[in-house]
Amino acid sequence: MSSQSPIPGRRVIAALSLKGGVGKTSVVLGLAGAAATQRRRTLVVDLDPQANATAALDPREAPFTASDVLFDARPGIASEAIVPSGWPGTVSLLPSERALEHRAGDASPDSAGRLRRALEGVAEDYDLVLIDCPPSLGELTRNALFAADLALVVTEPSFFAVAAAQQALEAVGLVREHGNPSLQAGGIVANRVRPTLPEHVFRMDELRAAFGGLILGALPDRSAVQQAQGACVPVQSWQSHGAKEACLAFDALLKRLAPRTGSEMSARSVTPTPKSVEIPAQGGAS
Amino acid sequence: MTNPSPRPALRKAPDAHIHPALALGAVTLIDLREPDSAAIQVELAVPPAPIETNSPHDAPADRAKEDRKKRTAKGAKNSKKQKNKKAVKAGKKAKKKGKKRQLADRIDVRREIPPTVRRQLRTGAKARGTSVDEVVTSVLEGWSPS
Repeated sequence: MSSQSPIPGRRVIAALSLKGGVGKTSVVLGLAGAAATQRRRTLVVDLDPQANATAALDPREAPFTASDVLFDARPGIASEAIVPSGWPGTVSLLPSERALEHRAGDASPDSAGRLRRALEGVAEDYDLVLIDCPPSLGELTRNALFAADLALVVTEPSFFAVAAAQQALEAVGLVREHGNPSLQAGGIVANRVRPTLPEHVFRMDELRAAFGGLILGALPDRSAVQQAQGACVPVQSWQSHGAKEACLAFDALLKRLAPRTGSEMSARSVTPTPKSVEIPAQGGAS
Repeated sequence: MTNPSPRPALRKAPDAHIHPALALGAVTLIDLREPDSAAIQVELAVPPAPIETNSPHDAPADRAKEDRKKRTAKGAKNSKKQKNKKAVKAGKKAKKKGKKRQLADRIDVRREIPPTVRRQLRTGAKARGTSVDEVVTSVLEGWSPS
């Protein structure tokens, strides 16, 4: 873990990556679960037409989706599409559907601000808003970056993913310059890291050399994460040693990205959470 | 002092039922939610043109057989007669079926719309190589809250 200090007061976090399959949705779900165990009101915005986060969060019904919200784009209209998730606790969802792909083609000069407009007055109702982006830097990701105040680049220790992380960071910089000056690069998190693999060790070293303090840490590759997703429950409620390790890593990441404010702590009685641990620089997760 | 008028609720996007994998083309559709705005640009899916597949009769062996038949005068006459009979029968059947289906599936909806919108509809439909009825059906399907 680097020595970068946590950024206080951050609420809307976009998880993005140019490359697919690096685990953006897994990271978003892990962070949402970690926030839920702290009883923080969390909204997951599924901006991926694959709708994997929507499937894993298992809402009872989803009459409207992000596609309808972006098509309408009136200020605050997102509140009409948000539904409670099927997870126990305080996680809500702005669901996705495959028709969201149509919105990716609706590019116009002010189209990138549709999500931000739709979330006006809505994001304030939540302690944390997590946006799951599609694996591209197109119109949907632009909408996410315009609405977010923190961009989390998800990568994995592989040759292609390291290059994609660089491009994602460049995209964050561009959006910051042209449209959302409050957007900050929250950092890069390496997902599915196996410290026993020489290739992963090499790529992690490469990531640290290239991005330095922006590397937030490494999330261990644990099958419990996929098992919990398959059962539509948070990994925090999965009973296994691997799940506990994953939970600790997600807790630590959440602490870095969105530390709890004093008002949040005093407002709610908090359930005891596992003690956060430092994510080892080169593994330690077995 | 006047109270603000009620805000229309969120509706399904008109292309919500269209699979993104279908070919897309920009076309002018009427937004029925906004009576003030005459028309808006959205993407309308047009099913891709059917790809001609090779029927078993197109196989080289079958073609060779038919060619041999045609070489004799009798064979050529017979095959022509048979083909004509089949074509007439198939045409009659298709006509009957088509009429029945049309009557069952289609109804007439009379609505008053501005002439500009009608003109846009016609030119849009012509440009897409489809009919006005098809475009209106597509719009109404997208608008329908169910």
